Amino acid sequence: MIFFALYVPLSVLTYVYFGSRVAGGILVLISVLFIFYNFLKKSELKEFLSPLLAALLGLTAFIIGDFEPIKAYPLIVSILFLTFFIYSVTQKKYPLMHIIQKIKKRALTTQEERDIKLSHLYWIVVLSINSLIHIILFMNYSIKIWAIYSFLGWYLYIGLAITVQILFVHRKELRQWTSNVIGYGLFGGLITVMFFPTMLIYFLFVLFRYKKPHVIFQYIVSKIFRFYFLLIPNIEKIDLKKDPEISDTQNYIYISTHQSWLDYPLLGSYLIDIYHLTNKKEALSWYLKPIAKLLGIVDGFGFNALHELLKKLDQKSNVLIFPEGSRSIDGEIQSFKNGAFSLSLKSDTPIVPIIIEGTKKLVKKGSYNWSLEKSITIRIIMLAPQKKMPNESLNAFAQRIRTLMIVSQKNRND
Amino acid sequence: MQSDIAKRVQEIIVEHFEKDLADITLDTLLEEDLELDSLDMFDLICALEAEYNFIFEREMGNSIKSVGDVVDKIKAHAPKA
Repeated sequence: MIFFALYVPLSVLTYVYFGSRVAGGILVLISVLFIFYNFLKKSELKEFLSPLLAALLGLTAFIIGDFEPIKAYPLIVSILFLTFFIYSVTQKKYPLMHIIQKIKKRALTTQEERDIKLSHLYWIVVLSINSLIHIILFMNYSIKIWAIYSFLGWYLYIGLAITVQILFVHRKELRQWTSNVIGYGLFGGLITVMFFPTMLIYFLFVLFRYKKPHVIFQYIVSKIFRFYFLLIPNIEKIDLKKDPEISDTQNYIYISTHQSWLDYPLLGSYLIDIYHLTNKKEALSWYLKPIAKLLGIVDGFGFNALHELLKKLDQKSNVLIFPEGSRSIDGEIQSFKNGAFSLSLKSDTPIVPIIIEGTKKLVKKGSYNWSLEKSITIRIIMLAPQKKMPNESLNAFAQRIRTLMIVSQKNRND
Repeated sequence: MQSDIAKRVQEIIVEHFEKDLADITLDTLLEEDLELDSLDMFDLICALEAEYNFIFEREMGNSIKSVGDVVDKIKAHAPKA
């Protein structure tokens, strides 16, 4: 590839300054050096073909004192490549299959294989046109025009062919890529743009000894998250339903269904002065810890986390827990771990069950791809606060809340 | 696992987290081997506190990594043990 890239500028420059014979001679010399280099590297046979051909053409140019043999190189290469391509396809060996598999780093699906096989016909046409252009330039045009196409033009032509293929053949992949860029790009972009102003406002409140400066930070972040969800083109609307028994003066342990990583920023856009757990130890790395703490991620795991949450509840802050422990794949509410209910008992804090619908449609567990679906409605349903009944066991309490959430979810869907 | 406390801790873990009895020894690590996350730890703490009528203090958390550590703490601090 390097040899091919250097061929045109090298030969044209030496021709312009020293004439055809010297250009031919230098080409022979460079080609021999490449051949020797490949010999030392014990390269495959195909690595020798390009410099061998250039050496032959350079020698011919040197002997006859004309630049035309040197001009023939890109033409011969394009015809040889086209011939090889057509031959491979007729032998049912598809060169692009191997290349695309290497790019995707996985086995191809049957549909993908079918599409790639079909695309070989398209590329035979593309490469034929490329060879035709080379023929015309070789026979009819000046060295300058030949050099422009052979050095640069053909890259643009092949790039255009790839673009046309993506736009018309791989429409779905392009749409997916665009969707991912919007979803993640917006998130990252908003966070980046708002980071310093948010920190500035936070430090101002710290300076003025505001009692809970993290609340200011979370308040600003909640507005950023709300704006983010407004910008997502897939979302038609976000519907929040809050039970009237939920008081603004009482702190709660919010427990929520969990289908997507988006549940965190979504709830973060509506809940303030909130603390929660993480099982991602990276969130508490030294460089992320300060921000994590401001976002309400509790420092510690297991035993320490429990004490930390109890302390926050004692200070009348709220706590958010996903009692299923991990994201649901199918949208059904999985069995609950009892931790949230134990916390409710120990701290005498009521539980507010939350049902989230729709985030699974945006980005589901196990995938990084944003949905291509449009007009998604996100629903956040906050049910009435609950406490353990006097003779109710911890398990029964957890099961009762879970059943309540399942029934509420089912009633909504019916 | 010899002592009554060790046996009872083992039973509580089996009851709450559906683990195999044979997989729980004094050296079994709570997070790494049993894969208990923070919510699971809450359950375990609350179950043990109710069983032995004492509170796991915050400072104990740093030194509790294995089942054996839990047993040691209970032996050292719980009035009922």
